[in-house]
Amino acid sequence: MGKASKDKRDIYYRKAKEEGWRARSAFKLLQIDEAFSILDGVRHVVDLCAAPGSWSQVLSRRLYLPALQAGRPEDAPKIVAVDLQPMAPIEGVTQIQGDITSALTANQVISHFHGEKADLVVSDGAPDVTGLHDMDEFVQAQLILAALTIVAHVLRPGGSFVAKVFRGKEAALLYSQLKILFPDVTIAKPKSSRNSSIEAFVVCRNYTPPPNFRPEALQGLLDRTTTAQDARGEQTIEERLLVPFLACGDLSGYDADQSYDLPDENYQSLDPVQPPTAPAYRNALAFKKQSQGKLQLV
Amino acid sequence: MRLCHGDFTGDVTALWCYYPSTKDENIYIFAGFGSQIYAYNISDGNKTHSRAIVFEDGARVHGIHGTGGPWGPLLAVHGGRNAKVFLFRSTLYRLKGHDGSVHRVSWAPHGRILASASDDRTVRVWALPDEAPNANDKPVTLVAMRILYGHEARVWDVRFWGGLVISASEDCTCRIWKGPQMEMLTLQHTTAPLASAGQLTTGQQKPRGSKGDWVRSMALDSHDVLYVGTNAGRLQRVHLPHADRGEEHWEDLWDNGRAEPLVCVAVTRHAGPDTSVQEDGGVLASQTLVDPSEGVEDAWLAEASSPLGVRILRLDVDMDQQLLVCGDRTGNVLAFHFDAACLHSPGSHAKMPLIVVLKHAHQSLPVSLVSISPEGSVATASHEGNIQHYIFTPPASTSSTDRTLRSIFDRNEFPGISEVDALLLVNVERVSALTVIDSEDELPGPSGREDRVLSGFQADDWILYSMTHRCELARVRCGGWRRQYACHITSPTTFTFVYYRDRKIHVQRRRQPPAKLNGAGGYRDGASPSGVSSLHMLHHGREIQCVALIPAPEGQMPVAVITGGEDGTIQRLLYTSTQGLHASAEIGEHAAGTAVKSISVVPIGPGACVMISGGAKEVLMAWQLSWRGRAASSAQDTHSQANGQALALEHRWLSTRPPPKGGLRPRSNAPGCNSKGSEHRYMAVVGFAKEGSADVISIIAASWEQVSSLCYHAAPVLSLAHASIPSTSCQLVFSGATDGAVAVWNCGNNVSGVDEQQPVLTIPGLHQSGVNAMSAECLESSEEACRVLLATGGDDQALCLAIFRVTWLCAASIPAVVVLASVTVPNAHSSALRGVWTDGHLVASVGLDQRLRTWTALLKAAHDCSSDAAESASSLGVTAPSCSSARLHGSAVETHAVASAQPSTVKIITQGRHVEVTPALKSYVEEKLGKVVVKYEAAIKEVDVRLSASGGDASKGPKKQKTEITIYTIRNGVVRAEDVEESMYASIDLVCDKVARKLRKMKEKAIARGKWAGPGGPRGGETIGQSLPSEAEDLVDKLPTDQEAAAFPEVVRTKTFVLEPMSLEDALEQVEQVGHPFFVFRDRSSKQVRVLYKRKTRGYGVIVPQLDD
Repeated sequence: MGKASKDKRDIYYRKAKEEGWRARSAFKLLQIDEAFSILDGVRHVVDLCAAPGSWSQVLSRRLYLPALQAGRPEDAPKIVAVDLQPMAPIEGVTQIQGDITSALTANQVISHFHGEKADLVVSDGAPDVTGLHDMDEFVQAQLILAALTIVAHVLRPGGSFVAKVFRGKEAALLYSQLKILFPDVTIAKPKSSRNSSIEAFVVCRNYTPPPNFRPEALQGLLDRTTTAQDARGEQTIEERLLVPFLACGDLSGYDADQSYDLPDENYQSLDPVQPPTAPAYRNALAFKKQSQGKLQLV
Repeated sequence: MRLCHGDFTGDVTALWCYYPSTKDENIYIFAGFGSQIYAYNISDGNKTHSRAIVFEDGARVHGIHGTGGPWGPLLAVHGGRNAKVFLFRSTLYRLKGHDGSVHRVSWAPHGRILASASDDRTVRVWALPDEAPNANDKPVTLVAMRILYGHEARVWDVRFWGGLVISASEDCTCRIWKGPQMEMLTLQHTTAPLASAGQLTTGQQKPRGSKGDWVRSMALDSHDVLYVGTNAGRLQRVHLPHADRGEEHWEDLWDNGRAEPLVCVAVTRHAGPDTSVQEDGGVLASQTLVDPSEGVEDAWLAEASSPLGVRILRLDVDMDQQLLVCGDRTGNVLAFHFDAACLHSPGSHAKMPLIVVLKHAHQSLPVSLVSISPEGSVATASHEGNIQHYIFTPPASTSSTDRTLRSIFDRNEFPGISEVDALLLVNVERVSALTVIDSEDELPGPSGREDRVLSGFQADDWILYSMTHRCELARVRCGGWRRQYACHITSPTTFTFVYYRDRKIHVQRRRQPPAKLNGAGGYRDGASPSGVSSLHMLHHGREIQCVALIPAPEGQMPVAVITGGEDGTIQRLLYTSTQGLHASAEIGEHAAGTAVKSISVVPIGPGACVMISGGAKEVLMAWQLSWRGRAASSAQDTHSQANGQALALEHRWLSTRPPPKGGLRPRSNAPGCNSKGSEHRYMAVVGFAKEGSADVISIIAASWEQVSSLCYHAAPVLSLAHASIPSTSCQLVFSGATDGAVAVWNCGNNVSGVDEQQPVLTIPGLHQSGVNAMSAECLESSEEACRVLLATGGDDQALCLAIFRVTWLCAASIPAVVVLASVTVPNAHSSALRGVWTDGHLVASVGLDQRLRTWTALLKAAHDCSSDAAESASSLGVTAPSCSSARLHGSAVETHAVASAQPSTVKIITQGRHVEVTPALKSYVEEKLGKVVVKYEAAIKEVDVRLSASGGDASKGPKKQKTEITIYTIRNGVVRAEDVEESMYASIDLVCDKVARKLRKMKEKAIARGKWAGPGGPRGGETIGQSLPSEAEDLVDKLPTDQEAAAFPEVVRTKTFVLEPMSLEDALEQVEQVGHPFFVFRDRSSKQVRVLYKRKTRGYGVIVPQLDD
């Protein structure tokens, strides 16, 4: 599929390039913010699994740049982006290349905040989806668990957490687990997220860790409180937890599932704002280039 | 046998069984849970287990592959980016180097070398050092010995096979690696040939004869006997040499003496070893029988001449049916009556009467295959890669449904010939692997069952293809179908293929070898399967998009389950209670392989229906499905079981809506006007039959005439539902779009001409997000009015029910439709709903969370539906608590399924915080609380029990055991009670008593107010969707979410907004503008927050907060 065709089929892809976002997912955070106002009054933000950096861009443009323009750079909110991958720099965003599951990274984040804790943690991380929904959901749930371990370390009580989930088979289990830490959990589906995609976002607010909660024991806690299935597998408890659903974004605006025509015939398709910085296959690509497409055995 | 582990909950992510070579060793099963490996010793009776942590960093174990070794099982384990070699309990080696996730590790058979496949598009080969590892040492970090670059996407799997490394990747390739270094690596192993299924021998034969003569046609009689017809009209027989002995042996059989080319040679098995040579010159098809043993017997038997004047390429004769079918160069199929008597009267030169002409049955492409099966069905194929199956039916025996269909799909092109329909097209089969289909045979396959084998060409290759297993069996590079060739196939793995190239005859043979495969990955002697067998078939391979169920007539058992998938195929299964799902078959493939998005089934007669399938890119196809087999009559009840099994579902393709001009690509609109109607990624289909006749109308009319276009929605339409109202011609169609809007259309009356319809009623924003599924059912109807229940399921996890009233006033053709009541269940599933079905009382829904839930719609017994005034009393409710949930196993099912009604009891959900909910505790709660709530069952939606503990040993303070019970009722709010005791059981007892008291009080109050839903109260549900004015246009704006009454109070949205200082007048203006019932603002003069609200009677009220000093 050519670039122009993708421009036509995916309005948000086109708009992202036109507005200079690195990925179309920027609109998702913007639309979530529209509905929940999660960015209001935020002083310290952590962006997990930030690469390629579209959510960091949103945070920078919504939080850091206004403060800069107001001439108060010292008051500007602190934004820290964490990813295993290196990421092209963004103004006002401190980058940490590290593993989100390790306590070391958490301490590093807090040190950037001068000992204070974060008001908001956002995570748009997803595995490279395979199309096998069950597997993708599992890996995504693991990723959220990993994100929660860092959230437990860096989020102040009362803070918010936004993460991507796949609403699949065991979605209810995930919600009930999140409910342990956040009394207020909502599922949001931004308009820019395709209707055909099982992706949605959990917006967890008012972080309230249970008393005597040790962040280090989070993994164990999550494991032990699973009520979905008895280990013997004979009785299953139907977990029905009412998590409110909210579609957000301008409902009369662009529909992510629809093709839109290009503005005119002379429309120039733009290049992606930020190509991948360090993909896992960069060596393979280099070798391919070297051998001009011929197969090579090393 | 079951291996379980008491204190662990979680998924097993990897499994491997260690099966030792000697008897005295133990058999182990290794299972990966989280970042640990559990080893189960299953040799001893106790099934002991031990565990070890593999990945200290918490990465999950994704795969285990082990090998036996001198020190016991040596495991290679991977997870995340890590891979390790592991002797149980101690890590020996770390495999370092992959840049991405590792998807597979695999050992070479001798256990010294392993390979790994990863996201970074490489396969790495690792060799263990020679010296014996010491388990007590620190793990050694290994670096890959070879890095195999070449895959263009992530590599999923890697295996060793003999001296080869085979890798499979997402770039849809399998690569086999065998470099010089790789050979060095695996030198000590015998290299098993990869394709050892057969032997190919190649020979070259020169045609003898005069100079300038050349082979014009060939035919194989057996694997060793070849007949060759030359351009100079000579027929020769060649005995082909065997692989091990002899020269070829040529003999001249016959010369036609006229030096006319022998265009076609065929061998028939009719009445002894005759060879019939068919010679066609231009328009003639004549036959000459040659007996090779006695020389020429006769030449001219009968003549069949085509009225079309096009060269005939293929023909087949069936003596029993006295039928001769032939296909010509421009895709026409002709059938002649072949009088068997002419065989016994040589020299008669009888003219064969033409009975069928199917003009351009194969577009204008040459026909490459004509065959008449012993059962009488005719198959033809051409260079387009389709096989068309026909049934030859004498005109008298056509059934009524056939006649109906024929009148719809009119094929009356040759009015001069009376029985045009004697060859009735049954099915078109698309063979994607071949473009030119040459032969089709049922051959005994490896498992003893028949294997359907096709041969044909694709580009320059001759291909043997198994239709049963959907795989290629052999491929010979021969230069394509334009060269002379002949093949003789006796089993899927035994064939001889000859072709003429460069003035030589090349022979390719494959014979089934005695299977001897040993060692790595091979089969043990004696157990080797011969030929191919497919392990996994008739599987969509992609997401299933739609499902339809077709029960057998008269309530007999087999139910056909028809599924359409993203892969563009429609497949079916039969279901019986005894056999489960079985008899899978592919019904067909959508045009251009586009995804099937929607299926609609319209019954047209007893045991017959038309199925319409719609897919991406505007593809619409119609199929006929009919049950065949003896119907069980009352006299045969004892044999009904046998009869039920004899029922089979037949399918035939009927029609395809011609693709839009410019191909199947999405059209691009003129610049400027935006894409209404140009969006073809989604397609929803609904079909229905006209009242009183078997005509299938509207969207599947004969030439796929578009009857009307429903243009209201700005967003793509995701779902359609249809309700047909008895005794009228009204056909209501409901449509739902991605923006959550639902529209109602009347599609009954207009049958001709494309007109742009306007909806009868629109409901924007019924759902917050896309409307994924709908189902509608007519509840009751009279002459003038009826009520229709619509159930919709949305992407926003909500289920919505609405009742519509349809009235016809003064014989107006357009009915008036109004919403009587609607109710929304906000969180019907914990994920998006994908299927909804209703029969007017029961509602079933399935969601992406893979649960099936059944609901009961509580309809208040309505008054006579024709009376207008009483109508407002009609009401609707949903019994959420009587929803029974069933886990759906397997992948996500999106279905309009027929669900059985399951009366359910109240679900009690028990959760523990800092307390382990033991089975004993759980059953105690359920028993104790169950007794209390069972009396109020009808009014309770959900019961939540939370057990928690603090103090005592776990933390400071005295020991406290707390039980909280929260009961959500349908419309009496929430009942809550809690109690803290030292013993958990005591606290449960006390809190149950408290709850019982509160529930009783609640019931008394509710009965007093007339709000009790259960026994003792007024029947039916309470009016939730309040009586609405009957003007449809008023409803349009009012129906959205404000109308939904939450079953219990809950905050569904929190909104923050800036309070602008304004005057009271400004605020009044604002509230009128936004249309909300209330408005919060800051008073300009006093700087205080005020609330402006709309009073029930008239005017507005202002609330002024008074602050305490």
